[in-house]
Amino acid sequence: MRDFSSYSDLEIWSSFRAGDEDAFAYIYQHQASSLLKYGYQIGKDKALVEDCVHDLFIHLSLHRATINDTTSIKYYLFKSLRRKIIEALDRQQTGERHLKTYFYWTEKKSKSFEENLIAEQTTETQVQNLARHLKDLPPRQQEALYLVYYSNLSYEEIASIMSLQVRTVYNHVHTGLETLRSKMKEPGFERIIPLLILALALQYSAH
Amino acid sequence: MEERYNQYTVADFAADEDFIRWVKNPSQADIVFWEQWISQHPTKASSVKDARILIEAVQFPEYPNLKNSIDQVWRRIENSRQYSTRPLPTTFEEEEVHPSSSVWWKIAATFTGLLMMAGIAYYFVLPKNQIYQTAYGETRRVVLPDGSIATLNGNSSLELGKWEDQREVWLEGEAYFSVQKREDEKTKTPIKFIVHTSDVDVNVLGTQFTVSDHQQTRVVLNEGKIELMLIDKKERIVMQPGDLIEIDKGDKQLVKRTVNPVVYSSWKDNEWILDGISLKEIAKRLEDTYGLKVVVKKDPDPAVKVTGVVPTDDLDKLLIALSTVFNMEFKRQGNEVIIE
Repeated sequence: MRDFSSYSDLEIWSSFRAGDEDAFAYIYQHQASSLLKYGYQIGKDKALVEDCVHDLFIHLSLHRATINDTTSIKYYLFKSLRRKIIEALDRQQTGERHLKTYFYWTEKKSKSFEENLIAEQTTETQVQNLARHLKDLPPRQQEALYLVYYSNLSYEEIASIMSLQVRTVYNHVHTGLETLRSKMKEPGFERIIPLLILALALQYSAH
Repeated sequence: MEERYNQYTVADFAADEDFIRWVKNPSQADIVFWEQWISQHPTKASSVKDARILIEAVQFPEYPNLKNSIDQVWRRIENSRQYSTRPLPTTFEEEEVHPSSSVWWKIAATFTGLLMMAGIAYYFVLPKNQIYQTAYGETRRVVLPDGSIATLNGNSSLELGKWEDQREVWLEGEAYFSVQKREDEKTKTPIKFIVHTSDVDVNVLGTQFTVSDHQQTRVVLNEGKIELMLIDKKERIVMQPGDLIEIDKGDKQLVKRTVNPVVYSSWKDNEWILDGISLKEIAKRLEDTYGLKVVVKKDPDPAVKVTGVVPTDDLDKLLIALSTVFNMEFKRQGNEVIIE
């Protein structure tokens, strides 16, 4: 397969639209990983996301002659994939959707009590503790944080993908971060004990 | 540009595109800029540190088996495209008549003769269908002709079907399946894997799940996606990972729950994960898998539910472990287990 790495997005996209099979394969190989990961964040269902990515590329190949130009392939695909996933979720019942969110997080929480206890004593704990609170944020805040930190897309592109104003995306990110930060400030049990001891010691020395 | 940072809070930093780039994927210029900026604003050092922690904390669940999925989806895309761009078949009238068609007929006839003989030999020499069975208390790992694996629990049997255009097995008892994805070499369509039980047919493409066909028929999905076909109602149910579906043999009542699927497949690794299980349930499990008669001498408190992991590779050890976790005595006398 030809190497397109020195080509601009616009050139690769034009080649693909002109019927270049190598360009099509190159686009898939370079975008599949980030598309699947992003889709999984919003769709929470591996099979559904894989179906949507499949459908997206089939749609592209069938309509290659009539689709728009783009200077950012990633942005174009993210936006299209998001639409496909929302449509797919809409076709399912709401109840089923709730179920999915539930599965998704119970899998992640299945660490034993002891494991969590040990983990809390290590230095990475703050990070891990906070990550647990991430799931409690509203879905839009989670999505905005995901895109801002993991997609390499600009606020403008993210706003367009999510069909929001740039300011609104920024607010989602900022509000989410404020919430996480407030969790970071909550003193853990292990941090209270030394304070209690100190308080007691001070009381005694005062007598 | 530097000015605005003077007023920044932790969240302001963590939401700033330039700051994020410095944390995630810095250029040389970013490193120089931020090191210099922090040294000039020592009072902001702790906010910067907290913002970094915050950014690192925002971690999302990873995509399971990403590499595999990337390849699979690509194969599916290629298959679908071939199918959708394939030219329509030419009509019968337009087909050219082959001049040497009589030669082809002769060859075909010879083959048919050979096939008939082979068929007769096959009928007499080979058994109708391959059957795998386990005795009470035995677990057995069976590698099926396609490389899929079925682990049979005690007192179970698995009969293989013809394995031609689809893969079919008939199950009595309990088994854990790890099914390989397969596709037809010519048509590139996935080949189905079907587990038949008395109440349901489980249709699979490639996945891991447990099927149990005792007093209730139970299907628990660990990975992937499967479709149940209820034989009575001719109804289809699509299962997601973590789903448990139970059908009562008597009234055919259907129950759907969300569970930790590992609890239901742990026996294949020679252990039972007890996930809040009552004495009554344990007694039934001992009867189903070991063929023992369980006699409960002392009526237990039905509210007592036990959580833990017990080894099952040795029945005596299992009974000792159960005695400990239930705080009662599990005594074996011949074909009976007496609990007191």
